Amino acid sequence: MSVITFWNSIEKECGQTLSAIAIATYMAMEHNYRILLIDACFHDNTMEKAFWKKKENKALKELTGGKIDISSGAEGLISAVASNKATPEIITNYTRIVFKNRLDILLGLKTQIRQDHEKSMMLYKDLISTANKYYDIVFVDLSKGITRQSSEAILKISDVILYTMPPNLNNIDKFKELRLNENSIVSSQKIMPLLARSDESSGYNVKNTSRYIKEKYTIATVPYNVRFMEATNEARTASFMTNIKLSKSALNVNGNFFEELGRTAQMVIDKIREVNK
Amino acid sequence: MNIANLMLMFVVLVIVIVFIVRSIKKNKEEAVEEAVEVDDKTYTLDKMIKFVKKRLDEITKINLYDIGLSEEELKRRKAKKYELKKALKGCTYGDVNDKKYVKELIYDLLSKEYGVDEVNISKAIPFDVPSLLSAQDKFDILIHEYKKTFSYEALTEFIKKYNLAALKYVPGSTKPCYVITSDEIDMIYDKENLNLSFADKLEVVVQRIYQQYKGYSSIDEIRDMNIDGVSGRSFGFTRKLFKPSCTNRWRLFKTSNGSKSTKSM
Repeated sequence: MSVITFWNSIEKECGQTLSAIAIATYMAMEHNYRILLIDACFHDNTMEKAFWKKKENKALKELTGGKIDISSGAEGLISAVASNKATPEIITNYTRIVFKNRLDILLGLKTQIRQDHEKSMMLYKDLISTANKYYDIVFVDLSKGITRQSSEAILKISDVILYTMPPNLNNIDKFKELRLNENSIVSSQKIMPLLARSDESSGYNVKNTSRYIKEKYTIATVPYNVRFMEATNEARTASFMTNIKLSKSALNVNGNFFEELGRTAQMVIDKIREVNK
Repeated sequence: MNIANLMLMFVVLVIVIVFIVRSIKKNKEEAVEEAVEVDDKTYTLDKMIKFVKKRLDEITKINLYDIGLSEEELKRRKAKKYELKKALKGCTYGDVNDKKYVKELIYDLLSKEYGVDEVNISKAIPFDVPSLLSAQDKFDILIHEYKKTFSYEALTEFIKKYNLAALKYVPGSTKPCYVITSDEIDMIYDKENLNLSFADKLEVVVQRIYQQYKGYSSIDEIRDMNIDGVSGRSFGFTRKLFKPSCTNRWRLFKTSNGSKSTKSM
């Protein structure tokens, strides 16, 4: 019943998609929530690669004569939304399952034309609102930047916005600057800073960054973990997360990664409760 | 079992094997789908309608059990197929949402599979040469543009703006009548001086294909507008030819759920 959006005002690589994947997968495993993760980025298949190897369905190809499977993926769903036919049940038909009844993923649009993407994105607001009736939490991995009208509409309907920043002084300063601007969406109560790819040995670790941006508590983080990065490249994210859950230890790197995700997930849940009060 | 029996069994076995191998080969050759053949007539409306009919037929008749999907995936695909079938059925009864859904699908088929682009779309409707556009083409374009701004009030606004609901005399008639002539449509089209994008052009083509394939021909778009109803009458020989005794005027009334009821007049 909540929409959580991952977003950053700078159009640069900042580990936003991987953070969304990590948090959504963790919450689906550890909490009793039905979660939908929506890929709303332009021309990016990171999310698909993180969970599934590109496998050609030969039988389907033969049956369709190698043509596009027109009624599948986000494109098909957008047609349903455009014609006011999107019900929560229909949305589930267009998603892909990671953990049954726990984590579904709606993969992004395949178009490589920015205008087409933007046109379809205008309908995502309705799509997210409908999906929110069926799922407990809807995570949205939103295109970075603030210039787009569609992004603004999605940010407005979000309950919590996770402002994702890498451990980089420019990005952290940009966040501070935006927060000072009262008209900016960043200054709203629903914003929650998230430090992606953080490293304890770095000067911009989570504690120092929290102090620098003058937060009372240690901010949410998704630590840098090379094994996790590899798993997302090799379509092993689900098995990787399950394995470290079974063998977690505070002494090893994976254990720390899992614990930090747990802390971040709890912070997200607390924020949802605070906003919905 | 003597040698003759064994030989007969061997011959039958060989014949069966040859038959199976040949049928497999034949199937493989048939599975190779031909690409869309491009010639002068490929991007005409008739050819496009044929293509859309064929593809929608293929999509709805696909046997999902042959694909080898998981239980959940099969369930979801079946639901999607059912949704499409429902929309294809519903749009023939005038359901506006089903119509939108089918039109979106036709749009995708034409742009992604049939290869309609900025250049060849003019073969369906000559958008770039206004003198070649028929009154119906111009009216379809005008209604499409008005619909973007006024939605289902488009026709009302269109008539209001150009004061088309006035009583007027037309050449060859002694009595005044309420009529919108093709000359008026030509004049309005020139006045509006529209600049259509490729998406707009394709939407106009999609509407034309839809109205011929599943919709209500030339009144399809008008029928959806916020109006009391559409009244139509055929003239001339058809009345005499088919049933001279009865009138062939008919009227479409809108019901509360968007579908229509027909009454003979």
